[in-house]
Amino acid sequence: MRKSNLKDRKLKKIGIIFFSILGIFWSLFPVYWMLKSSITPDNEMYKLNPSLFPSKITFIHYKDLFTQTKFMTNFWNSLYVSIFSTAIALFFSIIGSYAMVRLRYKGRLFIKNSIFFSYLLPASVLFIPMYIMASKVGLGNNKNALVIVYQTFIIPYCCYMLMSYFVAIPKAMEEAAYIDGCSHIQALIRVILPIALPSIAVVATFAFTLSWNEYLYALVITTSPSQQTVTIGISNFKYSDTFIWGLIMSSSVVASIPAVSLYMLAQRFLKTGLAAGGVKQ
Amino acid sequence: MKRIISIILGLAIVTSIFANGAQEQNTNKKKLVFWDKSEYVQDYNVLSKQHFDEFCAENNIDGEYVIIPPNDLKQKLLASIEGGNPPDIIVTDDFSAKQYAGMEQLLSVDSVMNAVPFTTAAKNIVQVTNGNFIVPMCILAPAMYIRADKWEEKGLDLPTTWDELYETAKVVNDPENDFYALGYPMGASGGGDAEAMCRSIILSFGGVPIDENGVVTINSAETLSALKFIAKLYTENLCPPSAITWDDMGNNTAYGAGSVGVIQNSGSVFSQLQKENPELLAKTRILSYPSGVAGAFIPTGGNVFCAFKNGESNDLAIEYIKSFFEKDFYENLLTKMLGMWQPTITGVTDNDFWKDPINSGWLESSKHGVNNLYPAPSTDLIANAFSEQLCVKAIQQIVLNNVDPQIALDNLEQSFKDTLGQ
Amino acid sequence: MQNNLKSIERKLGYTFSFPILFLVFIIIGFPSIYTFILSFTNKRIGYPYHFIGIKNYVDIFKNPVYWRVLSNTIIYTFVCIIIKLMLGFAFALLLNENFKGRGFVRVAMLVPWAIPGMVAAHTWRWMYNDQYGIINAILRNIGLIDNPIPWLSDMKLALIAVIIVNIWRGIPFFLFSILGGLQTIDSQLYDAAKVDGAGIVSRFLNVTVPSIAPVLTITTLLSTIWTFNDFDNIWLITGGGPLNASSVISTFTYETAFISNQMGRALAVAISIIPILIGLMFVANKLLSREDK
Repeated sequence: MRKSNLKDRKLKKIGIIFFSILGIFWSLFPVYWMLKSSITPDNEMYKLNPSLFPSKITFIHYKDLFTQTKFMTNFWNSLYVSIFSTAIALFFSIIGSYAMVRLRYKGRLFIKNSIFFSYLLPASVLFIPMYIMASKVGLGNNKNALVIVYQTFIIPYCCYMLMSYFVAIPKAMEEAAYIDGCSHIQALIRVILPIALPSIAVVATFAFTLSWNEYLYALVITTSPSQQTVTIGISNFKYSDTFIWGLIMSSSVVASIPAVSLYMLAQRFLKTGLAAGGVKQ
Repeated sequence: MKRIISIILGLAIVTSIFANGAQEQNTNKKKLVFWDKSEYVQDYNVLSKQHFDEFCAENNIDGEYVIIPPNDLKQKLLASIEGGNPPDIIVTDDFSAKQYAGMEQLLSVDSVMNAVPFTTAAKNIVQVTNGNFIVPMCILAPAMYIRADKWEEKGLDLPTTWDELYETAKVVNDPENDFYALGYPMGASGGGDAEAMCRSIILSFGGVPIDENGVVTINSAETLSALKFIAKLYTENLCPPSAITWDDMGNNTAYGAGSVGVIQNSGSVFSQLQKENPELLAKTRILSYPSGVAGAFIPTGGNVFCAFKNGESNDLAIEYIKSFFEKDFYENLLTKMLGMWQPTITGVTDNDFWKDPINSGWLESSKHGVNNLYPAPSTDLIANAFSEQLCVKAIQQIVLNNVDPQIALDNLEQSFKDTLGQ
Repeated sequence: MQNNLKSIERKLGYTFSFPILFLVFIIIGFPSIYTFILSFTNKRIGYPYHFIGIKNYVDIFKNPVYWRVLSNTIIYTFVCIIIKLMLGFAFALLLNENFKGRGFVRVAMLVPWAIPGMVAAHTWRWMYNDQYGIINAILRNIGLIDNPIPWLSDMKLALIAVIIVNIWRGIPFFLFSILGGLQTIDSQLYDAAKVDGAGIVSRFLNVTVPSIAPVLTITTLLSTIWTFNDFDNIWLITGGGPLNASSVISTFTYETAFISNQMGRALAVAISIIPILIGLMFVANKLLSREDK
């Protein structure tokens, strides 16, 4: 009995190791390949039957990226757009979700359901009318237009997630607060927010990535490099019949840094709160 | 209280954003917006911007010079046309420009065409039926690049006809060692290289996609044999397996990597090799297109200027385009492009650069091309049919779906008629 | 007093949900109406247009390419979601175990989600290349294949190729959603089930799955919508080709609108799939509201 138990444990351990390695390999190999390509010299880039490891390492692509191109401007723009759009989306989503989950008023259900409307048409259809709207209100070629337009896909996501978190918070805690004389807003700030904070951090991380990664709206709405974001910056290294793979790959690496580091920071929250139910306990 | 604070906070965030947006310059100066094409040879964008900035300074206007990658131009441009605020000037390729010409969005460029001494070949490229709307900036004559070393290795003469090309390619082809004789892209995306090549072969086999009256005449025995010929290059593995979906960069990179023996391309590969891979260039021979029973047809396009009616400063746009052809600037610019671009105006080739035999070949072939839509008249619908890449899709049907060539041709005829509304 | 409280609650409710209403009905509403109206016209950008009734819809329904694209979209969504769900679940169970180095595995498995989609698309396209791509190189070096596989040029493989990339990108979302759910399950439930003599499979079905059902529903719903509307991934890797073998509704719409410049028809394509999405929402709503109780 004990022996077979031991054998089971050993088997389980091997299984865990095997699948962990598989998972790591599957997840990181493309990232490794991107890094490898970004330090491969041009004349080896198109080698037939490429080898897994670079035979020569060069940082020339990074040097070019930082000195010859306007990519860093794009980078800061992206940071600006992502931070502001995330902050605004969080603010409106928190109060909105709170209202839809906890407050009683007519039409609440309708509003809740209507959020879904925003997902009915894809960006590949909406971007022309969005562009027209942005330029009509004087925000053509302006990164601030992106901050507003990005709300169309960040807020619905945030609301979905936040509503499911808020529902899971026991009502008893707020009721205790009301007895102490708290208003709704005080209850939201003092009771709900502290409990939901890890989940909000996770939602914020996701929201940040959504706006950091956006491409189509940024393509049509912004035109000058002083307003454009990283996704456009990367796409600028594709000329009609030549792709500058060195620059594409090195800029890709740089563009991945913020979101990846944000996830590393947020990963201690991730285990508790990536989706609904995370705050049940 | 808390509520007020949070509302104020929210408003503060919003206003800070709008405040940032309000920084836009608010001068009364006229504004000129120029969307230039990004070029692999970076000197172009540097010189072009410099020239544009000088022009704006002289005329005391605000200039906005933006480089737009060709892949992104169409979406951006259509959005801006729809929004009613297109740029003043764009640089694009000739067949895209022909599509815009039909929209009645473009400014007439009669005065530029009259003021600048364009060559006949250049005028031929930009000619559209409803007026002068496109200004030829440079000609991009294509040629056949061939790895002479590989052909000599097998004791073969360099091919001059399509049949010779096919027969010798079979000998040179060596897929086991990752060397394919031919590297012809046949992808429907991209800038139209594949469609141009298909049409060039159809024409030299004696077929005519659309005749000079705009009638679809593609369904003929000649076209059928051309389609069969092209399909053969892929089904017999003379091209790399993925070539059937390559875009315009596929052949450039494959040739640069030394994995294909023949490509057809403009001078962009030539100037790239000069810079990056002179050894490969030494093994390369640059020839004219092979010919068929009806001769050789070299579909020749180029980069062109267009100006938009709804731009802010129409007169200045026209003036700027004129100024681009100032002799010193233009002559110098072309030499910087290392032969990849040939001039559209007379009187700029009398220098050492174009007398160099390495470049004079390009100059010569730029004079003998036919335009992409030949022999059809240049209307926007016919240009649109070109950019739909219908011939390419027919070839893909034959190669990828094993469709019978005659059926593919019947379908092709139907799609042409649908697109042209016949 | 009671009334007063209620009215405060109502006012607050409207104030708080106003921004959302504004977003849905103004910022998204106007473009949606624009889209809807133009889908009944022969709109081509840059040209005058007029109403042509439901001709666009008739045309697209008669077009075999449309049906091919629609079936691609459904295959793409369905296959991606099923595999993401299964693998996400499997890896969540793995990471729910306590073992050395778990933190590292967790971070590593999160990376694909944090990488911008466009970056992922470029990288994979580069890896798929038949001549310079690493995938073919590895397969050839270990002797699995003799000739390179043209991943992105084959009628059958192109769709599979983009599905693989979507799965690569999407597993972390499922993985971490499910992991969050797993960690909230009370271990007493397992113990109780053990006492009742439930085996590992029965514990999984009777304890694990029901406990994380709400998480599963919302994760699957969001991911389904995203996958259904996925654009960057396919457009940047295959462009929908060859011959629409890998094109889905979003890329087909884009192609019709911008390559062929037939805006009206393209918008009709986009509108035509809305019933499917509404159906999805309906099902999800049913599931979610059942769980609310």
